[in-house]
Amino acid sequence: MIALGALLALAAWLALDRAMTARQHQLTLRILGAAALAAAFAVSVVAWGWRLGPVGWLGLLSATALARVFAKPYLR
Amino acid sequence: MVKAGFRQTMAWLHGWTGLVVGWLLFAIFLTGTISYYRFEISDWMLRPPVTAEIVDPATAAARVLDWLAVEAAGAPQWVVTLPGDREAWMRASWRKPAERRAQSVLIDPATGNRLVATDSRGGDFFYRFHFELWMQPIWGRWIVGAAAMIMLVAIISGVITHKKIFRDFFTFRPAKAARSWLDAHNALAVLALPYHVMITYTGLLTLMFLYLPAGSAGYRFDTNKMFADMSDIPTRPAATEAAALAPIGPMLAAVPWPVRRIDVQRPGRADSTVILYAAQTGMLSVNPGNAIFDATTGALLRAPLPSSVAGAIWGVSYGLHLGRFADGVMRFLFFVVGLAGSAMVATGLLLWTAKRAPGRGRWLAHRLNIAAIVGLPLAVGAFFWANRLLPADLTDRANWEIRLFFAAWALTLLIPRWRPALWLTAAAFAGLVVVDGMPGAFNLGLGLVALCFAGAAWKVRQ
Repeated sequence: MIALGALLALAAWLALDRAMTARQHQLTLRILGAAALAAAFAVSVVAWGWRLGPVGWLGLLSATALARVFAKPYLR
Repeated sequence: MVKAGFRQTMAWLHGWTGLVVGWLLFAIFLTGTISYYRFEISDWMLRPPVTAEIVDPATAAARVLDWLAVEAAGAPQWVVTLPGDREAWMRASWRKPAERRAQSVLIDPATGNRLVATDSRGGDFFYRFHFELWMQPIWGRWIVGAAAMIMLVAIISGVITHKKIFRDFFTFRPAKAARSWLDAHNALAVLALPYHVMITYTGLLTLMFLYLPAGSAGYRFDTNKMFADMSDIPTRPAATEAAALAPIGPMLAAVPWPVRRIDVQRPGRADSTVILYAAQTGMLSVNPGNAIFDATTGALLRAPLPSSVAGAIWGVSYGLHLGRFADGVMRFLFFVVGLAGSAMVATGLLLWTAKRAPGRGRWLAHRLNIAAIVGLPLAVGAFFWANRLLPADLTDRANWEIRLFFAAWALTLLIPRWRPALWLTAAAFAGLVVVDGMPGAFNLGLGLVALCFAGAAWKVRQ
């Protein structure tokens, strides 16, 4: 369940990052990214409950975003 | 004189506040991050020979209280921590009136006997260092508080200084000297900003009664009396005649939550009270509830209270700072963003040095950077090595581990370049895994640390 949350968060960052440089489909990518962030939130709440879920969600967002940004230059 | 813009002023503030406390902040941040694994480190260093047997809490509690009745008779208070998910043992602490320092021992839940563990501070060392710097506690706490306050200033001024938070959200350009350090600093700060703000602010809140004593002015600054009123512990008429402790099992059964901590006040006397504290399982707050019993009859004196709004905010803030509610995955996430925070401070320091012209100031900053950023991890490695190498019967053994930690750290001031420092740290952690030889999650972690430092050393050569 948490792995799914992490995947969703990572997918969200990929879509939002692509939206910054994309020539077209910018809006679609942004909507997809935002939807994936929301889905990651839902998954976090299912996995950890309402009390701890939001904390875990922020943790997943930070960890996946850091992984994305620092891996990016080396993955081309 | 040309009036500098607001953003330039903030950039100046950010640069200098960061530099003034940067090295100290790095040490506070990193030891705090390490403290997320406080119990695991203690387990690895103390190696208490716990009997692997699950015991129900009532039996375990009865055993430790029986032990205290023999060994700590006459102490004004006993504090017992029951086994938890991450600690297989129980902890019993007390302070006798004639003794200066409190005593604390580990008790085996399965036998009720004292566990003879390695004489070591274990993870508690990093935990204490994080907010007391291993100084006189009051001085350490004030210094850490001042640093945390400056950290908060640096975070806010940093956000204002950063012109393109969203445009540069995913930007990291390696191998471009100062530009790369700035990118890394920005990414580490922005991507984990909720954590940085939370941890700095709640860190200040944990010691707010020290930093903002005005709250206790109505009590003539007698915080003990204020806490007693806040926790609403009923005062009982003093009765000094001897009385035995009632069975703990029914008291544990009378509260609606699992119990983690038991306080017995004035044990052995007729006016003795037992306070049960709820375990933090699934709760953010550090104090989700407590109940008070008459220790001699077992009668409930005060049921768990609904928490006040202010009390709940403080409890949740403290809870968020400690992160003890976290399961394995969430603890790892806390650890990762904690490392990101440490790296944010480190890259800020490196950026300052990278932008300075060569000179005495830059030379000093460079040496301090090495001693702080790699020196501290190397000292942690030395601390672990000391734990494995010092003879078991050495007097004052736990303190020798700490002396060796600080000696190793001081010696890193003599290392002039990054590469040897990084290789040495990688070797120290890799060696630990080899010498220890025990497969396990902790040694896997040590191995990963070694790999990271080896990777960094290899990168620096390029």
